[in-house]
Amino acid sequence: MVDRMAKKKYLLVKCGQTLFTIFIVLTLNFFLFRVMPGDPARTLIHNPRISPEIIANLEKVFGLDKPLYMQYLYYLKNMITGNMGMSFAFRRPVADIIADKMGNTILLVGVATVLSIAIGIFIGVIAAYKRGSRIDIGALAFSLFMWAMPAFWLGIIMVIVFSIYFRAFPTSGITIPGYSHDSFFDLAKDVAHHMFLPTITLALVLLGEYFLIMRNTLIDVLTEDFIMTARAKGLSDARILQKHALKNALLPMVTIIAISLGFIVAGAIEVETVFSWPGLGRLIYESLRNRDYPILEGVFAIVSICVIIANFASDLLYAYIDPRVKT
Amino acid sequence: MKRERIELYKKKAKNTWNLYKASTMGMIGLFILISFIIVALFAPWLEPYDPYKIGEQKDIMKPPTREHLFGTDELGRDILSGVIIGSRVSLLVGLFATLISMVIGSIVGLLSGFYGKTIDAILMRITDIFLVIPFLPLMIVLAALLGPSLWNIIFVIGIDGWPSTARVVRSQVLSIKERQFILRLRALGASDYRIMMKHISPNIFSLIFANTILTIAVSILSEAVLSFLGLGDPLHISWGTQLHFAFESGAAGLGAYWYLLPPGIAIVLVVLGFTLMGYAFDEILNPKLRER
Amino acid sequence: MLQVNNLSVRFRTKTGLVEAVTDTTFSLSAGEVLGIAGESGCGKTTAALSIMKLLPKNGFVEKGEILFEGEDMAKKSEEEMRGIRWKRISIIFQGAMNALNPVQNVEDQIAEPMLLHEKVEKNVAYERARKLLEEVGIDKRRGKEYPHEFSGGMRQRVMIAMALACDPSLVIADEPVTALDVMVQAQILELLKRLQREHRLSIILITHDLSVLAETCNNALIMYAGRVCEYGTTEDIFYHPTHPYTKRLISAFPNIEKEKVFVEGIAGDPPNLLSLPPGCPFAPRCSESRELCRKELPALYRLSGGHHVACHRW
Repeated sequence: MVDRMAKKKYLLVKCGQTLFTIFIVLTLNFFLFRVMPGDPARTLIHNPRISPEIIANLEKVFGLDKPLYMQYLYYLKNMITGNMGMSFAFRRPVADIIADKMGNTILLVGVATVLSIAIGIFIGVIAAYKRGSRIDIGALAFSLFMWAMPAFWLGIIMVIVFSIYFRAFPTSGITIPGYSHDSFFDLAKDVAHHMFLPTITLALVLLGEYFLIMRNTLIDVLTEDFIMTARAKGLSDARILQKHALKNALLPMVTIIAISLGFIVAGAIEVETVFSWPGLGRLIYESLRNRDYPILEGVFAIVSICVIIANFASDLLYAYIDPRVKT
Repeated sequence: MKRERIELYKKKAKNTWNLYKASTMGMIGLFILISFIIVALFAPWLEPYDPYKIGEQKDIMKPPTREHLFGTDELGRDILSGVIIGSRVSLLVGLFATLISMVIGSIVGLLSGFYGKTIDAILMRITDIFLVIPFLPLMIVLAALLGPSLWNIIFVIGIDGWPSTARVVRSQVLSIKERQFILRLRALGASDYRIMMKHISPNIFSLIFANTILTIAVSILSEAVLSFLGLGDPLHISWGTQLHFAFESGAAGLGAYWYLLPPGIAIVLVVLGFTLMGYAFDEILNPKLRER
Repeated sequence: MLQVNNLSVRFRTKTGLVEAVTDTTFSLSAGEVLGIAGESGCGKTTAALSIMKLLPKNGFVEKGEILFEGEDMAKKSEEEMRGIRWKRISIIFQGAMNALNPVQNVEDQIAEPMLLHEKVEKNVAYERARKLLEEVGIDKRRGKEYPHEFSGGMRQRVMIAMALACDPSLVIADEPVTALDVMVQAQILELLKRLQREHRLSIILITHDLSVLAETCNNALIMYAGRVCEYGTTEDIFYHPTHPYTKRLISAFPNIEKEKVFVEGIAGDPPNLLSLPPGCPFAPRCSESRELCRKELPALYRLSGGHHVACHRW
C-alpha cells in the first residue's frame, strides 16, 4: 500500500518536471525567434514585399509594438491555444500545415522504429548468447559502420542503387503525383511502395544502436548470480534466457529508446529530406530554404514537446514495469 | 616537484601507448586519422586543381576520367580537389566544436560535482533540459538564426555537445571526491580551486579523453548534416556542403555516383577512425571495461 | 550416499590450464553434514559445483568419479543433469543479493523448480512454496514481494526455502552465512540445523570460517590448492589437528576465553594454480616442512577411525 502512494508521488513529480521543461522550451523558442538580433518577425515587418494581411496578422498575433514581456505573454497564450502564426510561403496557419504533415512523419518514424527495435533486439539476443561468434562480430562491425554513416548519405545511396539503377522504387513523395486511387487498398499499396526505401533507410540507421544496447545489456545480465541459480535449478538454456535473462535485460531498453528519440528525430529529418517524404522533417528543410520562420518556430516547438512527452511516458512505463522503482 | 610530475606523465603515456599498440581497432583508427590529417595539412599541394575554380560548360557533371579522377560537379569543378580541401573544414569544425563542448562541459561538470547541493541541482536541471530537447532541430534553429558562417557552425555544434560531457565529468568528479586523498587535502587547508585544478582534473583526464575523441566523431557528423541541409558556410567547401550541392543539383536523379560517393565515404572513414580510436582508448583507460 | 573419488577439475584459460581441484576423495553418508573448509581459491566451491556439473564453459572434470546414490554424475549428460538438478541435489549460494532474480517475486522463484520437475498443479505448488516460507520464518503473505524488499538475512532464508522446494536428498550450502552479520549468522545456522533434522537432509557446507564449521558439521574436509589436507570428524579436526595448514587455520581464530594472543597470519603467497610446484603444495609456506615435502606429494594416510591426513610427517 505504501508503495502505491510512493508511486503516485513519483508520477506527480515527473509530471511537474515535464511541464516545467515544456515551459522552458517554449521560452527558449520565444527567445531565439523574437528576442535575438536579426529577429525575423521584425525584419519582415519592414519588408515591403510581404503582403499587408500577413503583416497585420503578425502585428496582431505577436503584438510587436508592445513591450517585450507582453509579447511573451501573447506568445504563451498563442502557444497554448494552438495559434502558431501564419506561414510566409504557404499563406496558411502554421498549425494547419503541421497537422497535415505530422501524420506522414508518424507513419514513417513509427514503422521504422518498430522494425529497428524488433530486429535490433532479435540480433542482439543472438549475439549476446553466442558471444564472440561470427554473427556477433559481424553484427558489431555492421553497427559500427552504420553509426559512422550519416543517415542522409545512406538515403542517397539507396536512391542511386534502388531507384535509379534497379528502378525498383520511386525516388520521392508519398504517392504518385496526380494519381487518384480507386480504393483504400490501392492507396495503401502506393504509399507502401513509396515508403519502402525511406523506412528501410531510417530503420538501418537506428538498428545499430538498439542492437548494441541489447547485446551489452544481455551480456551483463548473463553474468549475474541469479542466472547461475536458474541453471542450478535445472532450467534449460532457452528457458533461462526467456524467463530470467530477457526480463531483466529488456527493462533498460525502455529507457534507452526514450534516450534515442533525439536520434530518431535527426534521422527522420535527414531521410525525409532526401526522399522528399512530405512530413515534418521535409517541412523543416523547405522552410529553411524559404526562410519561413514561423514554420521553423512551430515545428521546433512541436517536435521538442513531443519528445519531452514521450520521455515522460517512458519514465512512467518504466516505473510501472520495474518492481525495484519506489520513488 | 614539476620535473617529477613530468617524468611520471611521460611514463604513463608510454605505458598507454604500448597498450594501445596492441589494439587492432585502435591502430586502424589511428592509421585512418593520420592519413586524413596529412591530406588536410598538405591539401593545397595535393589537390590537382583549384577546387573553387568553375569549369567550362562542356565539363559539367562529367563522370571520372583521367583528368578528373572523381569527375566534375554541376559547376564544372573538380570533385577530387573538393574532397581534399573539404577535409580541412570537416576536421577543423569537428576539433573546434569539440573544444568548446569539452571546455564548457568540463567546467560545468567540475563545479557541479565538486560543490554539489544547490549548484549541482541547478546545473543538472539545465543539463537535463538540454539533453531532452532533440539535438538536430535545436542546431538547425540556431544555425538558421545565426547565419551560415564557419564560426557559427562551430559554435552551434559546440553548444550542442556540452551537456553530455558535463554529465560524464560530473560522475567522474563525484567518484573521486570522496576518496581519501581529497579529504586529506581539505584537512590540510587546500583551496577549492587548487583541489579542482591540481588534483581532481589530472585524475579524470584520462577517463575524459576517450569521451573527447568520440565527441569529435559526433561533431564531424553534425557538421555534415547541417551543411547538407544548407546551413553550412557556402564559401568553404566541406564534405557536407559538397553533398548539399550535389543533392540540390539533382545528382541523385542523374545517377552521378562520382559526385555523391566520395564525400560520403570520406565522412564515414574519418568518423570510423575517430570512433575506433575512442573505443580503443576507452578499453585501455576505463578500468571497469578491462575486467570484462 | 555421495562418494567422490580422485576428482580432478581443470579450467581452460588464456594463460594455461588451472588445476582447481586435484585428486580429491571424500564421502558423505545420509543425514550427515560435511563441512569443506579452506581459504579462497582452494577448490572447495569448484569441487561442490562439479557434483551438480555446474562448472562454467571453460571448466571440465579431467578424471575421477562422483557417485551420488550409486550413479556417476561425472558421466551424465547435460540433459540428464537438468533432471537431477534441484530435484535431488540443490544448492544455496552465498550473498543472496544477486542470487535471486530481482524482477520475479519470491513465491514464483520457489515454485519454479516444483513446476519444472514435478507434475503438480500451479496452486498446489504455490501453496507448498508459501508453506516453505513459513518454515524458514517468513510470513507467507510476503510471497508476492520482490527480493529487494527483504533484508540480507531474509533473502538467505528465501534461498533456503527455495533449495528445499523439491525435497532434495542433498543440499550444498556455499558460504551460506558469509555475507551476513554475526547475529543473523547465528539465526541462519540454527535454521539450517533444524531443517536438516526435520527433513533428514544431507548437507555439504562450504565455508572459510572454521567457527561456522564447528557449529554445524559432523565431519570436516580441509582443502588447500585443490587437494585434501585433512579429513575427519569435527572433533578430530579441532582437538587433534594434524596437518600444519589445519593447525594454522585453527590458530588464526582468536579464542575469547584465553588471554590475548597476537594472531599470526600464514606467511607466504597463495598457491599459483597454473603451475603448482612438485611435492606438497603447502610446502613453501609450511613451518614444519622438510626436503621430502618439496619433492614428493604426500599420500592420504589414515591416522585413526575416519581421520585422514596428507602430510609427510606421518
